[in-house]
Amino acid sequence: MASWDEVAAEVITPEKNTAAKNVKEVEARIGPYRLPPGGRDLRTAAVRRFADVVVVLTRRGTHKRYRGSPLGVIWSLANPVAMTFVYVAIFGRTFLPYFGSLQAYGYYVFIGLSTLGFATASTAQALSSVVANGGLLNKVRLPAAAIPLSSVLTVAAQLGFGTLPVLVAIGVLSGTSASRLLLLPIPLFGLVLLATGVAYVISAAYVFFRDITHPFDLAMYFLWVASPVFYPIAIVPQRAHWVVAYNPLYLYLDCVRRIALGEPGELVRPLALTLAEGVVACVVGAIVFEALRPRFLDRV
Amino acid sequence: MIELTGVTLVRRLPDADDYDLKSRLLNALTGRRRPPSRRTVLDKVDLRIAAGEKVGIIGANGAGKSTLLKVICGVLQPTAGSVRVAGRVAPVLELGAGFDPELSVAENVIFYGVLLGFTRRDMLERCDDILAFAELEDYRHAPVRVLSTGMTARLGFAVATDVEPDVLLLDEILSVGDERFRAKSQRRIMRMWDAEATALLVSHDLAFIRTSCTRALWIDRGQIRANGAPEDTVEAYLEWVDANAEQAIAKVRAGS
Repeated sequence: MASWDEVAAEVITPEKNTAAKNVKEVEARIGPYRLPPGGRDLRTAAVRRFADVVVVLTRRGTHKRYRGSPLGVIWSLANPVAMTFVYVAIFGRTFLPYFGSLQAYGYYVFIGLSTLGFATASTAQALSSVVANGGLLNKVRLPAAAIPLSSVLTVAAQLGFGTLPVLVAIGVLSGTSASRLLLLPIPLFGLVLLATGVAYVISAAYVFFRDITHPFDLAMYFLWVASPVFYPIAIVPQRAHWVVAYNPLYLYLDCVRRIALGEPGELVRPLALTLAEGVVACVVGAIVFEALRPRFLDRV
Repeated sequence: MIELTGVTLVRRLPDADDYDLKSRLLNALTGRRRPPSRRTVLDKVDLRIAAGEKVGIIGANGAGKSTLLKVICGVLQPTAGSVRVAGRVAPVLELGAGFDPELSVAENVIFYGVLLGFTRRDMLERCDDILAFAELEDYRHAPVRVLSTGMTARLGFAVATDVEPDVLLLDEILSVGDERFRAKSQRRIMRMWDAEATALLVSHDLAFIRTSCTRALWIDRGQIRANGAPEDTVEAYLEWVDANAEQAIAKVRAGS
């Protein structure tokens, strides 16, 4: 009877992605799996492999996107900051009654631009990611699911290292308590999960239909207009409220603003919702992706 | 040990308008949808290779030799049949296929190594040795795009072969680089070759297969045409090549 030591490599080599499944299959043949003394756990090996691939792909992505320097992340803030000034210059006066001051409006716009900017940039980056790495998939054995995830994480680096500190600064300037600002990572993390879920679905769909870029762009533009990025929610007429209400991004936008700007209102439920939506999107996206994955190789 | 049972691989050939949602919908509506063309790249391949065997694989271009190696190392999943491989596999296929021209040489070593299946921690530790073997220490921080073709091949070779594998898969690669480096890379291959490792080698170097392999396979249109002593397989293959050549010449003559 074969020992686990002998079959160890057999289990992980044919297809590391399905190591867990293979473990079960081998367990059926030679008895329950026990970690050999000093040996490597096969299940953690598969997880480690996935994490390693995500890390190197993300490092490659950030290197390209931010030119390999931490300053690049700060540089990428230039866009939302500059656009904030443009919006304040043009709409500041008009929306003054809703915000009280140009400064408050500026904070409102910056949060909108940077949060929504992450959602659009990360999904746009992920859209073609599987196809762009098709050469790699056909040459080395890779967990394909690491590819869209690392695209999203590449852009999330900007959210975490660039946007988050600015949001904290905005919070401090608005007189928000430090304990409240500690909640900021929650909706942002939820947003990263949501983006990952969407990234899984669209990057898989793009393998089959390369012209979905057009409907994708249209959907992104629609989301952009339907999100109160630079206009106050109060100007949306009652009969058009559903547009904003059914916009999945509004919840995240609203949560980040309520925390950073110290606006009153319940926080526990919306924060739980941001995480729950993110987790559901991520799980559903991963299931769709994995279901389509076996058909990728002949199409990329 | 490598065991392939009834391995068939059917690949789908992409059509020109295949990737277009609009034309797909239109074709579906007008009922003009053609079934996609498919190609059987491997056709019911049965193969058992015991530990320590050195197997040479020969055959015409497009016969399925490289595909066979890709199935063994798990890049491609067979459409039918099963593949079992015991031990650590070192695939030395398409050197440098994973390099990113914009990343630095050192980062590429880590990147490529992880793609090949090593852990990141391993690669961080071994990066220095790999650069030393490739003789590219001076280029550590330079982007890979500034390396010459030969240097890139050296780097790919150094990363892929810095292991003691149980199963070694070589695709047309026995040595790389200029004359001096060639000797060094060949030594490294031969060291793995002489060790206990099981080796599969795709090569057009029939002389090497004759002298250094314990067995040879001839693959023709996805099927194993011959499987036995290198001498016999190579002879059968060469006879077939000659016969084909004669036929071709006869055809040309008949046509003129």
